[in-house]
Amino acid sequence: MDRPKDKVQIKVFGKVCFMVETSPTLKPIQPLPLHISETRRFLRVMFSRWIVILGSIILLMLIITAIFAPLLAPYDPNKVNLKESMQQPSVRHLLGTDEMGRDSLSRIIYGSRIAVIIGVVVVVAAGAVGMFLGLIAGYFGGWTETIIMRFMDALMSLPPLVLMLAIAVMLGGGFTKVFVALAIGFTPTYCRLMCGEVLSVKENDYVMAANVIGASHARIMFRHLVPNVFPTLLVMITMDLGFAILSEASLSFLGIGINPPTATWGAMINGGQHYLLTNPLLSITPGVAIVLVVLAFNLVGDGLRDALDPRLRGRI
Amino acid sequence: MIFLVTIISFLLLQIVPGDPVLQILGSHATPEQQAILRHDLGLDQPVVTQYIRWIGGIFRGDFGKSIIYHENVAALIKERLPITAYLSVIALVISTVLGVIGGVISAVRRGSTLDSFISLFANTAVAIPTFWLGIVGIYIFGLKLGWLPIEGWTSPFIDFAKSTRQLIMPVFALSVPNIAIVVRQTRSSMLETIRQDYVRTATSKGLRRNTVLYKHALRNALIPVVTLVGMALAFLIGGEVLIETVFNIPGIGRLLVRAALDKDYLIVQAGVLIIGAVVCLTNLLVDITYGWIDPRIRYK
Repeated sequence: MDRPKDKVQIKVFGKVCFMVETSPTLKPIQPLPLHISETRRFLRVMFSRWIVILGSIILLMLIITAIFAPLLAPYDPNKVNLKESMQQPSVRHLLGTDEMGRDSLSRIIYGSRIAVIIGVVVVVAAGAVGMFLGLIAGYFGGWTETIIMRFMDALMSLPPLVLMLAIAVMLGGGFTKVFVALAIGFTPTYCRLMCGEVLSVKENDYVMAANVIGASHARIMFRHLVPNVFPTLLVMITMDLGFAILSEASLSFLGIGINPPTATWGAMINGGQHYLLTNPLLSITPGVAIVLVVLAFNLVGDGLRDALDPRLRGRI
Repeated sequence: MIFLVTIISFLLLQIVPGDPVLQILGSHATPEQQAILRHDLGLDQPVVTQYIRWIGGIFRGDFGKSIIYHENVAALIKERLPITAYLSVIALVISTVLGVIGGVISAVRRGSTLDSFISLFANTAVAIPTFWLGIVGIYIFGLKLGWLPIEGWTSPFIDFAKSTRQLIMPVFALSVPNIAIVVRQTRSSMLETIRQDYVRTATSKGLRRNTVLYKHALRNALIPVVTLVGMALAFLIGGEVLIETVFNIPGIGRLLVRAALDKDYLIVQAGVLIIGAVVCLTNLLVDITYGWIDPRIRYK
């Protein structure tokens, strides 16, 4: 697929496509005074929309919750207490308890840890592997490129969730296996992004100049090519953090994710769906947590894009 | 492309850690049983031979025998494929139509309250887990209001009314994220097209606003949307896996999940292959349509 010059490659649920503009509200950027510093300019543009501020606040809360989970959670998330099972929300249990008497709020709080870990590890792994492969493919071209990129195309032609499900099952399930499955699902986009970027940049004079003065392959790759994709990459990473969490929740919901009794949001929704009549909050509240977190990552991704590279505004 | 998908589906069985035979039979199996199954699966041969045998079987419609269901995998899939296809096509049509309408409204009335509202919806909808939406739907419309059945599947040829009632919620849950994707793409591509020179020309030669918008701009703006529809199908099938589980619909998605939980590797492998093939074919179809919609591509 050729990459149209004026469009930016983005990912919609694991599929690459080209977008011209998606930004929800396109107010013209206010011209900023020239004397302010780069950082201040960045922060000003980034937080010029209230919705980005909202997203950042949610993310900040998520991180605080994940770090201080033991202090915030009123109960042990895995403590079975059959005497208090299936309780409605009350002062003792703010969001009620599940069929084993485990406190729902505590489980959601601990679930944030899993969400953050999954998001970060998956995206870092997928980004590192994908970019490395894309860099090699784009830089060396020829057979290397054909093999790597065709393989990535094949991975992308499968619905991401189906691919991740199949890999997780084949590997046998469990914590690390889920990471691997998710990371493989998220790799191809990074590979494509990098490869496309390298192909378009490597003919530039400064790359040739670097080559002429005797810079090594590695130096050219990491000093001259990688920084070019950095803005796009950062935005993609931010949004993918959210989508990784969403994907993990889907796998956990199907019972293929992380093993019980570990509290994950997806598994909680799954567990609670059998008790919708008696205690609907069991299923509904973890879902609210997922929606808020994924939405927040998207909003912050939007804000980052506007701030990092004004040319990209409204494009990815 | 489909060839590559076959390789990936084939590799899936190869990444099973340890011995797949032991995984399938459990550790109590006698060595004879193991040897028989190993031979049945062709695992006693070199990888390339295995691949050729496997692909040869597929061409003859032979995907092997399910270990759990004791039925041919091909038969199991054939039974369930129409159900998934029916659901997907309905959801695809609904999300494309609503998505395009929403996107056009939002682009034409850019900056209005309606535009902000649609954009907010689009942003939120991609963040909502499909399965959760299904469950909330079950709770509100199925259990609290009692308007719709909470699960199940009836063939539309047997009882159309019942079938439709059962489909409303699954299709809704499947469509919402897709509508959001289509809305975003239509809106951006419409905004891009409105800026083009030929649109300005059309306006300046005195055509009515609506003629310009819908005859000149929209037709061109829809081209990227068509590409997206191919991808949307892939995404829909992913959602199908979840929704069929939530609503207990006997389609491919549910089969895949059941097989996955039961470690019935052959079904998973075949399911992945079929889904991959369908997505590839759709994309091919999209490419052909592309040439039909946009003559410029044909002449290149």
